[in-house]
Amino acid sequence: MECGEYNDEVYRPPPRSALQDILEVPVPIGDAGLHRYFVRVSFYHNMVVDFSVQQEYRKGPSPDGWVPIHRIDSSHGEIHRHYFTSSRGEVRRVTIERIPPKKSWEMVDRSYGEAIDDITEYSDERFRRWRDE
Amino acid sequence: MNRNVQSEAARALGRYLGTVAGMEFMRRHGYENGTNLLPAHASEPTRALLRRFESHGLQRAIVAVHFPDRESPFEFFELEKANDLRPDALELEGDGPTLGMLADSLQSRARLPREVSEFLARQASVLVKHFA
Repeated sequence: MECGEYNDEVYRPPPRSALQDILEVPVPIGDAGLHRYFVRVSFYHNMVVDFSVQQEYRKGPSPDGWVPIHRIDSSHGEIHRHYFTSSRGEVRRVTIERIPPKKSWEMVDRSYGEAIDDITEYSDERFRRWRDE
Repeated sequence: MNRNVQSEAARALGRYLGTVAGMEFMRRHGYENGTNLLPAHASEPTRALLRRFESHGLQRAIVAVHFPDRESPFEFFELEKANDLRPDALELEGDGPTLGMLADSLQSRARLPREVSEFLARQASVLVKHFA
């Protein structure tokens, strides 16, 4: 397969059947038991070719009680953010960068690390906005 | 615990999960998707980690101990709550050994200091630990 398959110039990751692996990992953060981020990464040729990193808050005690605060992912051919609030759910989606037709896997791989940096650095601020808006 | 240090451990763990080493670590040990990975700094006292384990309501987690100055920046061990755990079983007197000390001891990289061996003896009946 060539680097990134394109359909109408929109990046699509390799099909699921071709992937090396998909990791889905909750990472608890903070001391209160109420915060975590959830990582989903798809690997191909030893690179991250598709990902989602979501900051979450525990709204209830059940295992399903986690709600999104902020998400960065690579779907729809672009790296983008999803903003959520506690009262209205998802309120907007903002493109960070379109995934280019060349070196697309490298770009997604690099963007994953940047998404992790972003989610972990601004988690307090994002939580306050999510709670108060 | 220092918030920045904890945040840095969380960031480093996220980055690690996006590497071949992270992928292979998860698969080599048969960890299924959905398994919690609990980031912690090597300087964090064991007591603080156990409190976080409890506050998150976890039954089982892989603890990723971050050693930022080492070439291999993580050591891992597994915590699992036994079914017959007493309510006070996770209480420790004092802070307990640091996770760095605990991880190195479990890896047999360092001779077991007395406080670590005593800690392990006290906790052996309530926590299942092994190196991942």
